[in-house]
Amino acid sequence: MRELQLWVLPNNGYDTVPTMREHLAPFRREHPGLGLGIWVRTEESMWRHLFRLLKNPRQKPRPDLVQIPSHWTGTFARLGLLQELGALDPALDLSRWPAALRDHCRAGEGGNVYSLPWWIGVRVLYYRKDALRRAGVDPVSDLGDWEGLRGACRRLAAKWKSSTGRTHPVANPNPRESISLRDVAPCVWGRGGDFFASDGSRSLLQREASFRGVVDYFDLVRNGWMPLKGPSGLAPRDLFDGSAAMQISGRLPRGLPGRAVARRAAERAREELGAVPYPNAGGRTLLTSQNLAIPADSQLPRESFALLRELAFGVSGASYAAAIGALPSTERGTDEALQGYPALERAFRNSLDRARMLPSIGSFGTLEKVFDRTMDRLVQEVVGGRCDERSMREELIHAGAEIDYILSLSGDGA
Amino acid sequence: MSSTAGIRESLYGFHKELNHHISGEDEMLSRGLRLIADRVKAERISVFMLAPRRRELTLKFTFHAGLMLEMVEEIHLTEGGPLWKLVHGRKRMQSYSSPHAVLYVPLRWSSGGDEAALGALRFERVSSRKTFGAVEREFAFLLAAELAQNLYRTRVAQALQRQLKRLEALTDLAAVFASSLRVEDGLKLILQGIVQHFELDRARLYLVDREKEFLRGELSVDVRGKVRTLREETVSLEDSSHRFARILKGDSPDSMMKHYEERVLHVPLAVQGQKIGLLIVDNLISQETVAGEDIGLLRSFAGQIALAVDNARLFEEVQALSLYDSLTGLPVRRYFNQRFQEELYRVERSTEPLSIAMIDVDFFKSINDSYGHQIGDQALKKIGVVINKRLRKIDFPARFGGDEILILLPQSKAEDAAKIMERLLGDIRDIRIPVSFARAGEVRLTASIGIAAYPEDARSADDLIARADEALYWVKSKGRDGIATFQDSVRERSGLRRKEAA
Repeated sequence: MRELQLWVLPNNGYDTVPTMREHLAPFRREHPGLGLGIWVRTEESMWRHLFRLLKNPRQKPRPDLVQIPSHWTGTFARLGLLQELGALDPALDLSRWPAALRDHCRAGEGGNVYSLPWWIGVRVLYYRKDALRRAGVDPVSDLGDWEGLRGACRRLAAKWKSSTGRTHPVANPNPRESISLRDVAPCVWGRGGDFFASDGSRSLLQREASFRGVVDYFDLVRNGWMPLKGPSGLAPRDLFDGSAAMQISGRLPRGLPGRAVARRAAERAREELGAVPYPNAGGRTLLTSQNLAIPADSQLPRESFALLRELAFGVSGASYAAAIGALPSTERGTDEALQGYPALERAFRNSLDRARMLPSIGSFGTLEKVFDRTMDRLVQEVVGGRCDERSMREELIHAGAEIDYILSLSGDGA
Repeated sequence: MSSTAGIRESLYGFHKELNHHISGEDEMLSRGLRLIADRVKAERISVFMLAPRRRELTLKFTFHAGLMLEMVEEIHLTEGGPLWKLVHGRKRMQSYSSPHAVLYVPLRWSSGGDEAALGALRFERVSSRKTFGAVEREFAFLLAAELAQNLYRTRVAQALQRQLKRLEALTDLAAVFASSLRVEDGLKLILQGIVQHFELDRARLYLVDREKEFLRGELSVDVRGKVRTLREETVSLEDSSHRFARILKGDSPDSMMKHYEERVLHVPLAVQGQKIGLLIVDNLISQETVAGEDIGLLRSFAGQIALAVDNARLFEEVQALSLYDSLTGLPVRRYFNQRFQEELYRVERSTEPLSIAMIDVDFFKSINDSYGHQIGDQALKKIGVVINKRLRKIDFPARFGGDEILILLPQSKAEDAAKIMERLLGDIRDIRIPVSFARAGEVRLTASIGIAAYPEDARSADDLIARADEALYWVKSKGRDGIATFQDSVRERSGLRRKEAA
C-alpha cells in the first residue's frame, strides 16, 4: 500500500494527530488504496528537517505534503525544494483567497505558485469580562492603545490577584515560552517602525520606532504582567483555561468538548470572553497563514495535490480549522466561520481589515530566525533580571547587522 | 512496581531492549520513551535536552496517548533553582502536585569520574492529582539514568560515524586535485564537495592576488551545488575595516560577528606562513550551527587546498617563466630544486612527512639507439602526460635530466609514496608507442623507481636525492620494472651482511 507522508505543525497541541485523522476520514474513504502517515513537527524541527532534505538527498523519511508558515514559501521555493503547483493543475485559481495570502503562495520572478493557504490567524486582544469588571477596566475605552493595556495590567495585577488568587493579567501566547517576531510585530508597526525596508534590502531594527515597539511588548514580561513559566516548569495556564485576564491570540475558541460537564463549563467560560482589536495605534495587527506545499521530489504528487486541495478549500479543511480554533483561509470560509462567534465577530472583522502579513521576501524565514534568537537572548536576560533598555538596544543593533549581512549575501531583497 | 526484585527485573528488561541496534539519537529516545511508558504510570512522558549555552531545557519528544509527538516547550533554568540543581546533579528528582502531578528526573551520564548533564525526563499525570510515590520516583530515576547512558553512547557513536564519513569525503576531495589540471575546475569541484559532504549552506573562496594587495573573489557554491563567480568582489588587504582583511591579518574579528560565529567559518589559506586566500563556509540561510568536529576537519583540509591552489598558481607562473620542459610538460630541474628546498623548510617546522621518488625509464638508451631519438622523445612525452594525470595536485614532478624524473610527494610517507608510484608504474606499463618497423609493431615502456623519505632516510635535499637514486639502482640490479624504497635496499644489504657474518 502506498503511503502519503504528511508533515504538520502541532496545530492542536497533544491532540494534533487524532484531530487530523478525524477530519481526514472522508479523504481516506475516497482514496482507499492510499495510506496516510502523519508526523507532527515543531516549527524549529520542520525548518531543520526541510533543510536536511535539501542537503541530503538520501535523507529518510521524505514527506509528500508539508505545512509551512506562508512566509517560508519564498525561501524553500528559491532553494528548489518545493513543487510548482501550476504544473499539477494548470487551471489553479487563487481568487478564492485574499490578495495578501495570494502573494505568499508565489515565489520567483515568474510568480509561480508553490504553496496554498490552509488556515489563518489574525491577532486580537481577548479578555475575560469578569476579570476586567472586577478590576474596573472598560475594554472599549481602556484597551484602545498600548498605554491603556498597560494601565489595565497594572489594575489587574493589583486587584484581581487579591480577589481571586489568579496571578497574571496577560497570558503569553507563544508556545515556546519566549517572545518572537510574530509577537512583537504589531507593536513595532503600531509605533510606526518596521523590520525591513520596503524593498527588503536592509534591516530597520536599529530605528527608534522599531526599538520602542519591541520595548512595549517586553514591558509585559519585565513588569511581571505576562509570566513565561510557572514554578513547575509548566506553562502558566492561559485565558482559555480561565487563568489569565487577557491574551493576544490569532485563534478563535476551540470547538466545544463532547462531554456534558466539560461542555457546560466551556460554554460558561466562552460567554465570559470578549475581544477587541490589537491595542495599538490604528489597531494594526498581524495576519498569519499556514500553508501547504508539496516537496519537489514527492513520489505521490497527484495524491498529495488532491489532499492539499481538500485541506486548503475543501470541506475537511474548514471543519479542521473550526476544530483547532483557526479561521479557514478562503474569504468565504473566514466569513462563515466568524458568523458562529457573534461576540467576537466585530473585533475579528475590524482586525482583518487592518491586518498586515510579514513581508514576502525570499529570505524572510531565515531573518525571522535571527530575530527570534535575539528575542530568546533578551528573554533570558529578563528571566535573569539583567534586561534593560541599553542591552535591548545593543541586541537589536547586532541582530540588524547580522540581517544586513545575510541580505547582502542572498542578493534578493525583494 | 513495588518489590526490589521486580524493579531490578524491569530495569534489566529496559536495558536489554534499549541496547538493540539503534541507528541514531532520535530513534533511541523515541524507543526509550515508549519502553519507559510501559513501566511507569504516567499520562505524558517528555524528554528535554539541555542547551547549555542557552541555559534551558528544550522539549524533544513527548509520549502521549500512545503517540510520539514533537511539541514546543522550553524551560529556562535559573541558576540555583530546583530544575537547575536537578540537571546539574545536585538534586535527584523534583516533583510538584500543582497544577497536576509532575515529576522531573535528570538525564545524566557518568562513567568513572566523568559526568555530563544531558537533560531531564518529565512525567505527568494530567487528569489526576495522584502524586508519584517514593518507589515510582526512584524507579523513574533509575530508568532515566539507564536512558542517559545509552543516549551518551549513541551520541559518541554517531559523532564517530559522522567523522569517518567526513574523512572519507575528504579523501575523495583530495582525489579531485589529482584529476583536475585547471585551477578553476578543481576549485569548483572542491567547493561543491565541501558543501555536499559537510552539509553546508554555502562555501566561498577568495584568493590573494600576486601583488598581495587585494583579496579577490573566486567562486561561491550554494546548497544546491550551484556555482557562482565572485570575480566582481575585491577587498583591499590594507582596508582594516573590512572583516576579511582583518581575519587574514590575524586580527580579532569585529564584535558584530559574535552572534553568528557559530554559523560562519572563515578559514585563512596559508602556505609557508604566507596567506594566499580565504575559504568561507556558512550555514547562514538554515541558521544551523557548523558542527565543532567539522571545524577541525575543514581547517586541516584548508591546508591541502592552500597547497593545491598554490601549486596550481605556481604552475601558471612557471609556465610564464618557461620553467617547464617543453617535451614532457614537467618542471625543469632548477625549478624543482627551488621547490624542493621550500618544501624542506616547511616540513622542518611541522611533523608532516615528505617523500621523493626518482624514475628512470628502463632501457631508454636502447630505445633511442634502436628506434631513433624521435621515438625516445615520444616515450618521454607520454610519460609526462601520465605523470601529470596520475599525481595528486600537491605532488611536484620534474624532468631531472635525460630520462630521469624526480617527484616530490608532500604529506606522504615512503609507503604512501610507494602506493602512488605503483599506480603510476601501472600507467607507464600501459603506454604503447606505435613503431612500424619494430618486431611487435609498437614499443612498450617500463620504469624503475626509487623512493626516499624525509626525515628517516635523509634530511637534506642532496642526500634525499642520493638515497632515492640508491633505491633506484637497487631496483635496476633486481631486474628493473619495479619500485623500492631506500629502506627496502637497506634491509637487503643488512640481510646480506648478517648472512656473511653468519
